[in-house]
Amino acid sequence: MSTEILSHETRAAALIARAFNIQGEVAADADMLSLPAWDSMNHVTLLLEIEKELGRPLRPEEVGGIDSVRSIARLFAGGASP
Amino acid sequence: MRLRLKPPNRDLMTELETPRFILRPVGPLEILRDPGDWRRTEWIYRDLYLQERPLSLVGWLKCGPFPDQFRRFTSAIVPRGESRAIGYHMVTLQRGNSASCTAGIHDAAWRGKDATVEARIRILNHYFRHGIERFTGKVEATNFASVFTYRKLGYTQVATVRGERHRPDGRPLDDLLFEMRKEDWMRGPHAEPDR
Repeated sequence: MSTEILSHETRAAALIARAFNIQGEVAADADMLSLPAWDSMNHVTLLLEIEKELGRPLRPEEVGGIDSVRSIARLFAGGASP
Repeated sequence: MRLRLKPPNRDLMTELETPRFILRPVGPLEILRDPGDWRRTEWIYRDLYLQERPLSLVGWLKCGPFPDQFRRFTSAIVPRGESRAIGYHMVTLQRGNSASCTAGIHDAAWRGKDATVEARIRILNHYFRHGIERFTGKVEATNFASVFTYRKLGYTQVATVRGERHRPDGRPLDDLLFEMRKEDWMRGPHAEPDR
C-alpha cells in the first residue's frame, strides 16, 4: 500500500476519532458496524467534518458511500475539487 | 390513505420483538389519530415529507403511514415495558417480490439511538422469510439520518437521481436509491438464522 494511501487513512481515522470524541486510535479497517459510537447523530457530525476537511459540500453519491475509514480515505484521495 | 377491501395478510402483521422494542402492528385508525404528532414534528414533516410547515389534516391523510394491511403494513415501535410508541415503521409491498420501507422516530429522547436500525433489522428478516426478495429505498440526499440507516444496514447505493423531485419552494432535490437483495442480506451480519 502506498504511503499516500496510508496517509489518507490516517487522516480519515483521526477525523472519525475527533467527530465521535473517541480517545485513542481508530483502526484503518474500522467501519460503522465495528464502531459503536457511529450512530446517526455522530454520522451527521462526521459528514460535516468531512465537508470542512474537503473544503466543499459532499456530492449526493459521496454522501451515500461513507461507511468506513477507507471510504473516507478514498474521498480524501480523490481531492478537494468537485 | 387508501383502504382496500381485501383480506389482511396476517403473516406480515405479526408482532415482532427486538432487544429493546416490541414492533406492534397497527391499523389505519391508530394512524388517523396521529398519536406521535407527526403532522407537527419538524424533523418528520421536513425530512420525511419534504414540507416546510406542519402537515394539514388532508396532507396527513394523503401521505401519512396508513396501512391497508394487504400491501402496506405499519408497526409501532414500542420500548419494552412501555405502552407508548416512539415511532412508526412502514413497509410497502411492490411488484416483483420487492418492498420499500419508511420510518420516523417522533420521540426526541430516542433520536440518534439507532431505533430505526434495530427495528428494520428485525423487519427485513421477517419479510425476507415471507417471500420478499428485494428491498429498495429512495432518500433525499441531505436526509443524513436515513442515509445512515441504509448504509448501516448494508444497503447498496445503486443510483443518484438528480432533480426529479422538488421542494415546495421549487428547489430541485437529489435522491439516492438504495437496494438490499435477499442473498446479500443473508450473507451479511444482520441475517437471522432460520427458525
